[in-house]
Amino acid sequence: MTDYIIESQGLTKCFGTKTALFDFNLAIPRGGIHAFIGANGAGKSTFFRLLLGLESPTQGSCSVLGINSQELSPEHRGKIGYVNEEHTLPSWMTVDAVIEMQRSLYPKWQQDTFDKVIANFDVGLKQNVGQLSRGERAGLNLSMALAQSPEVLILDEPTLGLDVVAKQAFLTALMHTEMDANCTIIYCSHQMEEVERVADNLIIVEAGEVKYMAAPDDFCQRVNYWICDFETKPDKVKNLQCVLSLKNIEGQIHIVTIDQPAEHFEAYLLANGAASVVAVPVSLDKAIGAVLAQNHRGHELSA
Amino acid sequence: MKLLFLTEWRRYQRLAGLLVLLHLFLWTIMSNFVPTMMMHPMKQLFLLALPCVGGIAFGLISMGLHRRKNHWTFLVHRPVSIARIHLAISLANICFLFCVVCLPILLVFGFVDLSSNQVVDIRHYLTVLHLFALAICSYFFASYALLSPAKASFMALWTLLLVQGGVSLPLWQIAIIDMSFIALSFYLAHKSFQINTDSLLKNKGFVLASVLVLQPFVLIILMAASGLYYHLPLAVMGDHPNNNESLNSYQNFISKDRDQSFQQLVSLSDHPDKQTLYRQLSLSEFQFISYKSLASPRFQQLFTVAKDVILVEANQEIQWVLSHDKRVFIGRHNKTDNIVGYMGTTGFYDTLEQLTESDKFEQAVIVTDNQFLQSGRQIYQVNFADRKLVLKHQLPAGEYYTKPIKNMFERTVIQSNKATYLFEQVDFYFASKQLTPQHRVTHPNNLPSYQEVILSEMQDGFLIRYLDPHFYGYLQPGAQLKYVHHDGEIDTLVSYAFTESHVPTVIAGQTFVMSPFVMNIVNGLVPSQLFFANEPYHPYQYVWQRELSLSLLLWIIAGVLTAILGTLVLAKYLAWSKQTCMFWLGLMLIFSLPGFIALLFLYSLPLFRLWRTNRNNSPKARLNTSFKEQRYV
Repeated sequence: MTDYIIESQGLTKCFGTKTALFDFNLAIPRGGIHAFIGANGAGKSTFFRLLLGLESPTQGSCSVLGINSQELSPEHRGKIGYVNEEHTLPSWMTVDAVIEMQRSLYPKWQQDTFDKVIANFDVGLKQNVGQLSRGERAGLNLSMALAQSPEVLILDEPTLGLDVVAKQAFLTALMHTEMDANCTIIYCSHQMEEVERVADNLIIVEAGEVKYMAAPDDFCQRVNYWICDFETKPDKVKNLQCVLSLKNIEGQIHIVTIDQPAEHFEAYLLANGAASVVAVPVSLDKAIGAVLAQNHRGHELSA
Repeated sequence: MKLLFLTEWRRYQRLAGLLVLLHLFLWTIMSNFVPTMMMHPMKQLFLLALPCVGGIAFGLISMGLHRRKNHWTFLVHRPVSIARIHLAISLANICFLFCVVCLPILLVFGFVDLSSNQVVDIRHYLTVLHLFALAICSYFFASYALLSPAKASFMALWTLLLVQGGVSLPLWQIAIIDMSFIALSFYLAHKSFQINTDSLLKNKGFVLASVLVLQPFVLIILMAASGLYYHLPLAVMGDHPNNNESLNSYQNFISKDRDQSFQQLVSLSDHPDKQTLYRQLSLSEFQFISYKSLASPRFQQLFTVAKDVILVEANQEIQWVLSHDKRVFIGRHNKTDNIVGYMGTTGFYDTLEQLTESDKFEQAVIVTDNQFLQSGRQIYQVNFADRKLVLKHQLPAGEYYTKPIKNMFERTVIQSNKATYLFEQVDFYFASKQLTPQHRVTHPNNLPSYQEVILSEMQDGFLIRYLDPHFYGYLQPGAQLKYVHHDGEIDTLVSYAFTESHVPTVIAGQTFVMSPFVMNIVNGLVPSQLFFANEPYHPYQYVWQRELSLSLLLWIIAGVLTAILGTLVLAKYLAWSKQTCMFWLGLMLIFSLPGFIALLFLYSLPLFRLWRTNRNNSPKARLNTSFKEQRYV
């Protein structure tokens, strides 16, 4: 058995003239919750579609459970749960009919798990699925996905469009469910507080490439936030590769850097015109925001 | 699978209920205008359009709803094989189509059958089966068109025209055609229902079937194309053969005024009465024997094809309808719905039990003038007043009628596959006995039917002109003029072969040049459907019956060679393996140009992408460039 539950090598996917993924190399170890983070159009959903074998790669390959995604058998699909942002369910059926159908399809169905998870949501079994609110549908979807006892569970922006209460219920259900230790969850979201709360590992995707992959704490340590007073324009600092962002806020220069030892950079700033330098603790939200903003800035410049 | 079936079924069950009620409502409205079991052009159109339009619309809607991104993932990403998912969905949707298209018709026919004395035969119920087959094919073709990665697959919907069965065929042939098309459409829909359709065009069986179902559309395109590259430019320049009156071609000949074309033939004759006939022709009348063909009437033809055979008696109050099951006419009073009697070949009877097997009709008949019943070999006259049937004329063995009865110049004219019969009209209508024809004019050659047979009355007899584009063989037009004297003598005035071609061989025989194999399927498997619609007895229906000229053979070979060369270029562009290339080259020998054009349609998208890629250098370079732009600019 391979050590990695999900792997991709040189994965490239083009749609006509648009390139969604380029040389996408990734290896995700078994177990834990892995958060996929990236701007809209970064290629996250395309990667999931390739992973589930719904699209063919233009170049390269990807595998899940050690099986090439293009060769997944129905048995393998039974081990991969998938919850999408729309929470697609047959809206014309009643909730218990949907549950009955799913239960009959999945041999490892765990009714206990289902009951525990669904208890977090106010879902009536005799209700029509079409009458459920978005949050209730999300809950039903998550309950069914977890009850399938998947080895891999892909959650593609599952809390998108949910209100605070529904989001809270969803995350509680996800966090507090006793899952198989081998179950690997791929969690894709734009909500940094959610990611911070649930993720064991961050995978930051940028313009179709894996940019960073690290544990949230490790990633935060790699990012530094500086507030400085400059007497002259910090043009030299602005062009440094390690600088993710540089902003002038009320006369003070706010700088975010990555992979730059703090003591070296402080000395560099002082040597290049900074009158004072203060290091500020950086949150995951700000760190990721700076990384993704850099990419956006790149787009703006190219435009 | 059962639950998947139920899920899909429940999705449309309310809609199905609603549409069943609507369909029944439409039948109720129609029955106010035309009796339920009587065919009418509007009803015929409705019955044929309903399964086609319904099947296509439902196929597109059903698959379109499933094909939405997340819905597709929800449907196919589960521990069930994709084949079983498709089967479950297809079964549910076919049940829907049965309920909406067939069930109301069955209910209506069944209700009429049980509650009235209207004639309801097995053929009526079999028609529902045929319509069901049509609906299934339409549904599968639409599913295939929607799911296939090649958008040209939508053109495969034209193929449904061949399943329509608008012509009279034996039931076993209709059953074979229906089953073949269901199998073909199911195969295409089933193959195209894949988790990922990207690699579908690499499947040889799928592409071959797609090429096959695209043939009718490609044929239409190719035929229409001759208008663009030949007829239109010549018409614009004023050099079209239609404008060249000096060209003595078949097409120019038939477009001439009747008197002129008759006179042209008479002038070529060396008959002693030539001058007299020539002068008389300028004042003569001309009448077609009939454009209509007697399309081999047979029992148990589908309700949508066979016209109702009805005789009306006593101020429209009693209708005599031919029952295909009982092989007799059943008389029914319109207002009281009571059965008034039965009519067989030997006369009228009060009960069905009185008729023996020999009293029943051997063949289905058509009705002319509400009194003549014409089968393949016999013509009966019905005399309601005396309650009897008279055998008016019977053909010898091996001969059959090809045209219905027609009255002209105080004669009744009937045509068989061997001769034209002329009777005194008065005798034909009023003599109560079997008649001997006044004239039996044998056909000029072994053609059973001609495009045009025109009669003109002269002072001492009739002129009969035979004209056909295949008179002397396939694509060898000719004409013959016969002079039938009143005293019984028959002279052949002239036989004429049109040697000047109206259009080049490649245009004249273009349908055949395209693909002998496909043309044979169209003409043979589904005869008369497109090209010999009015000529069910045409001897050139099958490929082996046609003697092809050397130039036509050369054009056929040129067509095949073009297809082979094109396929080689395609193979190079698409980097086909040697095995794949050989496979398609072999098939081009059979499919010729339409096959190659269908291949081009199917691969248009991959080819377009390749062309764009090549324009921007290599794919890798393009990928690198696009990313460099995003990351480093």
